Amino acid sequence: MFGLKRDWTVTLPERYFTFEDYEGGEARWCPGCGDHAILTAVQRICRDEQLPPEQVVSVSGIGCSSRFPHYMGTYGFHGLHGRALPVAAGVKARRPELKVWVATGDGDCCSIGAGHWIHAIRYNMDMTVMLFDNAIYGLTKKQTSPTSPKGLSTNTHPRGAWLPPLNPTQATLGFTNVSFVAQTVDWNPVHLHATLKKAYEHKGLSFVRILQRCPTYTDKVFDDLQSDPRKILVLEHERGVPVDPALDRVFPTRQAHDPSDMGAARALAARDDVFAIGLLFQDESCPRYEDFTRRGLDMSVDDKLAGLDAALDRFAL
Amino acid sequence: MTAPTDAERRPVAHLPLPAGGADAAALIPVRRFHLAGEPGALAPLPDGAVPAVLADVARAPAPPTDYPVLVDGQGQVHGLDEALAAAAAGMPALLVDNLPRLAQQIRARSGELDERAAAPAVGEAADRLVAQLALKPGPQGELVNALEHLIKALPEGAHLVGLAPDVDLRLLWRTTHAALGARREALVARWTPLAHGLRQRLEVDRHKREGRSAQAVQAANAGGARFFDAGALAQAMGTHRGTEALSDGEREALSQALATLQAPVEAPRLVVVHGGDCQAPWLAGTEAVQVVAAKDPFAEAEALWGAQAAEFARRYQAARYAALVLEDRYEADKHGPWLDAFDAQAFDDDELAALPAVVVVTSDKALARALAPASKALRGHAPVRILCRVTPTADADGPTLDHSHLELGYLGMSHRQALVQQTTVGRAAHLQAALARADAAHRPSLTLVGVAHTIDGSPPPLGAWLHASAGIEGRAHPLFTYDPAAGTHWARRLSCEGNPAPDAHWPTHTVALGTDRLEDWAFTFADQAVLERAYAAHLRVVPEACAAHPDLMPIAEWLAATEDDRAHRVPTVWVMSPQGGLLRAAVSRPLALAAQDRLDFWHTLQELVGVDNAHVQAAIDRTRDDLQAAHAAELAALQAAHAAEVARVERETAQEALGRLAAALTGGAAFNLSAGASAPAPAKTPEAIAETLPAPAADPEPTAAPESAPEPPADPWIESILCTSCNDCINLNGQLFVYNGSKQAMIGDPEAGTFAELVRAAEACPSKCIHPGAPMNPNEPNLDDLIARAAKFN
Repeated sequence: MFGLKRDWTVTLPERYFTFEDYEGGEARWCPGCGDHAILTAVQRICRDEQLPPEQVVSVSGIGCSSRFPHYMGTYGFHGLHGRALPVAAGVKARRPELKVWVATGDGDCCSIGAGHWIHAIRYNMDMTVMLFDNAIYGLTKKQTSPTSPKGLSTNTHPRGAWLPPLNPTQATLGFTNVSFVAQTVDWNPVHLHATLKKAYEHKGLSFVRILQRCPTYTDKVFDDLQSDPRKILVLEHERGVPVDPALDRVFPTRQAHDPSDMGAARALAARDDVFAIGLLFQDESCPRYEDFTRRGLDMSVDDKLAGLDAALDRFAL
Repeated sequence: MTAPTDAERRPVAHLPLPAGGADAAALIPVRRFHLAGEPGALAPLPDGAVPAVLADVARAPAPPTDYPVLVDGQGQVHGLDEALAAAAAGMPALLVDNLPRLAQQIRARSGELDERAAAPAVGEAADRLVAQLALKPGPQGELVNALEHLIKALPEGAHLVGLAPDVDLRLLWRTTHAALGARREALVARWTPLAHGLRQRLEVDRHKREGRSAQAVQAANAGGARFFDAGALAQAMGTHRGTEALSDGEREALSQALATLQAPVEAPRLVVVHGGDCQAPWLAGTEAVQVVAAKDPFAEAEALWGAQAAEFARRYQAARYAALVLEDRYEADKHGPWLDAFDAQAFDDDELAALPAVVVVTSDKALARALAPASKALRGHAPVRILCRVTPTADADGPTLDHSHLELGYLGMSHRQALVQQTTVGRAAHLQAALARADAAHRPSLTLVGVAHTIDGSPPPLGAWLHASAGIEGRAHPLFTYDPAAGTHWARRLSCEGNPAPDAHWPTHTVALGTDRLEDWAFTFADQAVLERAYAAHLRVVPEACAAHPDLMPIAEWLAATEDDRAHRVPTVWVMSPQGGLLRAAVSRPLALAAQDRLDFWHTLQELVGVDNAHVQAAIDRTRDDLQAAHAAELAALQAAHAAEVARVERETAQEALGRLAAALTGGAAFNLSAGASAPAPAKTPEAIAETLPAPAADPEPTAAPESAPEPPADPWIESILCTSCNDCINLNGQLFVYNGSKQAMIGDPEAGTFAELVRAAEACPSKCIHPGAPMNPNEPNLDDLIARAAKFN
């Protein structure tokens, strides 16, 4: 307008955040651990989006991955085993403006926290849930987890895990009101970053299963996927995770997939010949529970007191 | 309603929807105001009201401006954002991300800025930016370092120039000073060899006259004197041969020419002549500037230029004389009279360009009163430049709407051989280009500069820059350049480049109404008048009761309507009150007709450049009709030929069929339609054709090119975007491997580690993004083994 070269209606934020602003304590994960890549991806997204650190909360349960909040230079809540999601839901219920990242492991989420998992998905509160799936209990030194592959030798099953592994993606796609499900791998930061960014941008609960290598206890568990990239199936769609051209060389196997197709998403999640990475399912029309829980947040203290008085007056003699 | 463009998809200030309801009775005072100028009970526009199309801008946190601009050492103008981006090219993202904040810091102080050296101004803004961001020590150090590099990368001699009332003079000074400095240096460079040659001539002559040539040669050859006897040589050559000494007259002429060429050029570079109304005291104390106040500044400017030309003519005459003498082509009878009469008519372009720029600074009012002397200056030979400041919304007589607007630019064009330009301080680059064009023209010029102040001197409601820009948008001060040197046709001589919507009557802007309604509204001269308190009496708020009455018409539509359609209608503009309410304002008839007057002049300019030109349109129509007629004739001929061919084929086929039938009935040739002798053979398929061709000779086996193993890259490198930040390599050697700003590994100091470490890191890297390259140290132990291990990662 009027030859203006820039938009004068936009007010520049006073502050600018660098990568260091999102760094907390020094990460103590083992060298080579895939958690480092996930932490870096989240910190990059926070920086690129210029999220004020005080407006970001990372919440976790118990496990190696649940050290995550300690390493973020933001608010954090290192919760109880299996209780990352209810804590995150509580944060979101009363502070819906905060950006919530949930770090939970395959044991934390899919075993002791499975009940919360189901309902958090149904609540569909706006947060990004990262399932660090390394197929083992690492913090407690190699016990079988719900996603440990059959035959994996662990301290609880020295002769090999007895049962077939739980498929968290398949399970999540079966929960009511699911709105976003994606998969990625920690060893490709380009796709990992793109997937988490897509999840962050989703309005609702975005569930991202990340295959994450544990160099100490399950360093071979994803060998077949790493040594034969054709077993990684990259999902492509204009509404999916943007696929960087740099991935053409790394992951040659592609498939078009419409993320609004729940049937196709479930079929992809069930495949065991390949591991599909990208956006499996998204539906932004799903109701979000914080739209209910935020009611009354704008009430003044006086209004609340008046409301309480009115309620109590009904019991007055 | 039209869909918004990408640029318009930004957040917009939504205006309330216009009020509904129509009441004919309420319209009566509105019509009376429009026709008779009687405001009656109609309310004036509230203080601070702005045209509704500027609602977004009015709600912005700061008035918009493209100032300060950065003017480089050559006088070129650069937008601040573009200049900073250019200087920051290739610098860290931390700096690039913060360039808008740096520009904001610079602009925050530009209100008090007339002109300042860019480096310290940007340096201070950089300090404030660093303090504002309060980054952690690591990134802060990186930012400070990058800002220092940015400041060093700014153009040499760059200055920041703000939108001061005399910004046109500041740009004039910077443009002229730099250009004249370079031109005079070039001239002096041209004169230096001439002066050297004259000195040599005079020295030789002196030696001849003083008879010390042999001794002088001997002295000059001090180092080799024992091998060479100059005196003996002089004796052997005799004294009667060789050149003769110069005559006294020649010697005097050469000496004078030498002195003239060696004298320093002290003439001013810029001479500003004014009639007593030039408010720029800084000019008088500025290097190489002469300021002259005169009753008739136009005649004074011509006289001053003439005096300067005469002074420079002496130098140019000396240079011409020296060149002729040194080339031994000087003939006193032939060249003497020509040199004696040497004046500005004989200057070449470079010589003309080295003369001081003589500029008359005046105003539209003063120029209107002095049309005769100004006209004489524009028709003269002296390249006097007239810089006239124009208040776009006012007439030469002030804020009156009684007469059609005096278009000084149009009047200037009538002089035909003068360069005439209309520009504005609202477009600094356009203004500087106009000043530079006048500088290079070597002919009289008139440059009309639209200024940024209001008619009554009150602060412009949306800032000075926007006020100046509104002059272009409202067609009160359209930009144009009439350059007689550009060619013989109007199409070449006249350019309207830089105007918004050059093919339309008015520029339009998208306005958001309610929450989901977008409309394109024109910005007219009447909208521009909303920004001038001097025209407040010509605008009145339409009562809400009749705000949607069909007899109210947006002024752009009213101006485009026929006289009959206009007769019972009242033109209006939409304005936004300071409280954000949308008001409809009736426009008085004088103001509406003034808008018509400005539109008419814009149409004239459009016609002259070939837009909406009746002659051009007629030619287009004629050509289209001719083409359509030719096309129709060709089509008819083809259709006739086709019909004839179809008739022939039908006729021949029928005859042939009858013939065959007759033959079959009479026991003649077998009746076989599929194998008829005259039936066309079916076209062969490509496969059938291929079968009939001889088999191609087998291709010789391609000779396998000897494959040589690709050379591994010499230097180690990391595909950083694939790094998982797992710390493996960093733990191995924190100097050889470092993290970048996104915490992804890159090679730090390649000499800080061994090839073995590179190979071990590559083997450990989970994403295989480390490429060890070739060993740098040929004496490293176990190299053969390491190179073999590194091969699969290179």
